[in-house]
Amino acid sequence: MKQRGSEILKEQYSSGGFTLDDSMIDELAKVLDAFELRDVFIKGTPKPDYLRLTVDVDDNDRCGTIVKGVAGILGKRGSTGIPGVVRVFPKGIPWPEAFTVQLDIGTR
Amino acid sequence: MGLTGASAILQVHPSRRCNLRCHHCYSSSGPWVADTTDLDVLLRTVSQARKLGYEVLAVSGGEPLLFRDLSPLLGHAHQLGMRTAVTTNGLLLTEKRLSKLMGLVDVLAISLDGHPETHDWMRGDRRAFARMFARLPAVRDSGITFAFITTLTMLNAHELEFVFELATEYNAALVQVHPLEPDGAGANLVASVPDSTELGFAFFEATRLSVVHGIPVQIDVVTQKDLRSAPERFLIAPPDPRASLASWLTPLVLETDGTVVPLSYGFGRGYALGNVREAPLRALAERWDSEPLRRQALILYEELVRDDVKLTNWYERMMRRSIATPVDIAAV
Repeated sequence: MKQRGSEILKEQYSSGGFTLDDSMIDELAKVLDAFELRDVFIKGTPKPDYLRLTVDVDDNDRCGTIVKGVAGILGKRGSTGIPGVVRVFPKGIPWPEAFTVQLDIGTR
Repeated sequence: MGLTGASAILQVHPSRRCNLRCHHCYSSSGPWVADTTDLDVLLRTVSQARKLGYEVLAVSGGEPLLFRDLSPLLGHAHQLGMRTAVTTNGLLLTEKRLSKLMGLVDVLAISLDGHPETHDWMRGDRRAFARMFARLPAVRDSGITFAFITTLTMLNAHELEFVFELATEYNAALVQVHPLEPDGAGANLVASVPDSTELGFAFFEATRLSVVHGIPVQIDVVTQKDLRSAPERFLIAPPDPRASLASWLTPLVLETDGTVVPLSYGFGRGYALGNVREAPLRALAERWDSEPLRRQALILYEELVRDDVKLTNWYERMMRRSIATPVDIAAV
């Protein structure tokens, strides 16, 4: 029986990933500073090991800024087998006009 | 703001002729299907749709590049101030065709269903990927904005990485992830329709890849957050009688035989606005009773919120309801 796509992804994720650390949080804060932060959830004390940020963005250019900024931060840390940003677009071909950006990062 | 964002879309299927016979084709198109919409009917309908507030003309099929009058259709939409999008399997995107399309099409959506072998199987042709792939350098060099549109199934969420890598290599502007819908020829693929687990992983993976590659992604699923934060987008409130049709109903779909339906090709016939071969679109819109559609939308909305469904293909759920619930029963 063929394997589900999600099963194959789980195997790939388990061999990838990076560690959440203070410097990453600082850098992310700088990228996100210009945006309206809707929600923050941090788990793990004294060192956070799971971070979720939700940001509303109202146009393409600003969304591009946030994506590039976050990609840059995550990319510097090597493998990005752990997810970074979740975005919800209105359905449409292909001019999304408003976004909610939710950033989830967790340690391996 | 409607379901397709701030831009209301008129989606047309001027021909069901296609150079492929894809296993998942919702319009059951193919090489021996001759159905075509007359150009004058199309032009008139596009003009009237524009007056109703539709701003985007999306051309699908069939394979639009096989529709002889594609250029005049796109040109007409542009003259009316509409943006244009064409969904294509990409096999026929020669330099000559691309040069004809330049200035007429704002976005090309090229189908790419995962790894080459997956794509070939889905397209019913073991050369489909190779032939599409061979066109990509010319597409990139043409300067026409293009997107990859990928069909998500139970088995290919892990193949999104390949799609994004190709998108990066050829400068695609967007990747669109669309769950398989078991309609038309796709009715044989019910077992391959992605469930909530696959939708969740694909959502996760697509946005990860979007960050890594810096390419926007459009994922055609609705989240619980969407439902709760913007219920008006799910057709549950009565429309303002002064508002245009396009302000709340998008996409509006013109099928090849002239039938106009809401939301999806193949939507339940009882919910159709009518046929533009019998009356102009404007007249159909004026006399259309949208209440049965809204009733089904409300029932679906309440169900999705009550059951706290995290991710769903809302259009497909509405489609299923429209087929299972004929309008006379819906009116009870």
